[in-house]
Amino acid sequence: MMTHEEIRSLLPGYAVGALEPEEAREVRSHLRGCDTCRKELAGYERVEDALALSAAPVQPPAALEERLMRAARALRPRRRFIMNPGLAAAAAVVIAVLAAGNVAQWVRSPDFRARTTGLLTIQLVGVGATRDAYGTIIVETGENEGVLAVRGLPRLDPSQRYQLWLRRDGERKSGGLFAVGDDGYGSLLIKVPGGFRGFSSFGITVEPAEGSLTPTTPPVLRGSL
Amino acid sequence: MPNEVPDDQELIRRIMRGEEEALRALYARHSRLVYGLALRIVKDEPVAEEVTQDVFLRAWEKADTYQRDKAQVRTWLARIARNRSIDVLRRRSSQDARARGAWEDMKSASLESQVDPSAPVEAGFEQERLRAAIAALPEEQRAALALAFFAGRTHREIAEVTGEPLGTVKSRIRGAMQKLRDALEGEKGS
Repeated sequence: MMTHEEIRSLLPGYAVGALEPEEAREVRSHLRGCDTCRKELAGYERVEDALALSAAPVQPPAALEERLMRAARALRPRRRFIMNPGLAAAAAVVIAVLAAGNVAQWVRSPDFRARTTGLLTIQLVGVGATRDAYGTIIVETGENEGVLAVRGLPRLDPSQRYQLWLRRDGERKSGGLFAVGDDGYGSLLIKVPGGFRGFSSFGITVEPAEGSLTPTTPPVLRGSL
Repeated sequence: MPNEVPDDQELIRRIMRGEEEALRALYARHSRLVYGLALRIVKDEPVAEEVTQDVFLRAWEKADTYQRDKAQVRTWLARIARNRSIDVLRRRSSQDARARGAWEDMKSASLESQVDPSAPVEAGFEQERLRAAIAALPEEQRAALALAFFAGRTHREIAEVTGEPLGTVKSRIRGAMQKLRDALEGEKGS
C-alpha cells in the first residue's frame, strides 16, 4: 500500500499512462479520496492534452470519410435518409417553386415535365377551410423514396402534426409526419417500406404529434393519380 | 436551415440527435488532428485509419459521454485517439517485438510540436508555450517522455530497454511533466 507521497510522485506517470496496471489501480483508488492529488493530476492532464494536440495534423485518405459514414449508419437508424441525386434535385426545384407560389401554372409547363421526367408527381389541393393550400408529391416509382412539399397550411399547436396518408385498395399507410413553418411551408421526405406502387390516392390530416394509426380528422389536402 | 456555422458543442448536440451531417462536420473539422496523432503513435497508415474511424464512431455512439466542463471537444477526441492508438499498439505486439521496437522508438520518437494553423488561437498560444518548454527540456527527459507518450511505454519497459534504473526513468518523466505543467500554467493570471 503506497503512501500519499509515493502516489504523488506517480501522478505524472499516471497522466501519461506509464504505470503498471497494479500501480495505476492504487493511484486510482487513492484519487477517489484525495482532493489534493486530484488537483495536482489535473495539471498533468493538461500537459497530456497539450501533447496530444501537438501531433502534426495529417490529412487521412479521402475514402475514410465515406467508410465512417457507412459504419455510422449501420450503428444507428438514420433520422433522415439520403435521397438519390435525381430526386433531390427535383425536390429542390419543386420546393423553390412552391415557395415562390407559382406551382399551379408551373406544373402544367414543359419545364416542370422536363425536370421531373421519370418521376411521378401528384398534385394535392386544399379542402374546405384550407382550400388555398396546395402541395406536390414527387416519387420515384418503384423506389421507397418520395418528397412532399406543401404551402398555405396553418401552423399547428405543438401537440399536433400533419400526417401524410397513402391509399390503395382500401389499405391506408402513413407516409410520415411534418410541421409547417411561419410561412405556411412544410416538407417531408417520405419513406414507404415496400414502395409507392399501387397507391392511387393521397391525403394529409391533422393528428397528434406522435401520429395516428389511421386518420382521425378529415383531410386538409387531397390528391390522386 | 440556419446559415451560421455551428460550434463543436452544437455539433455534439446534433450528433446526440442522430444527425449524420453533424458527424460529417465534426470529421471535417478534426480528422486531421485525430489521424495525425494516431499515425504518430501507431506508425502504420491502415491502422491509423482504423483508429480514426473508431474515434469518430465513438463520438457518434457516445456523444452523451462528452462533458463540456471537462474539456473541449477537440481535446476529448484527441484523448480518445491516443488511448485507442496505445491500446492497438499494446495488443498488436508481443513482448519481444515491443522491446525491439523500443530502440526504433527511441530514435524516432520526438516531442517537437508543430502549431496547427487550423487550431483555435488560444490553442496556438498554448502550443507555442509547449514547444518552447519541450525545447528547454534536458535530452534524457525529453526522450523518456516521448517514449511514454507517443510510444505508450511504461516506466518498466523504458527502463528495460534503455538499461536505466527504474527510479531514474520515473524521475525523468516526472521532471519533464513538471516542467511542462509549470510552463502551461505559467500564463494563468498573466
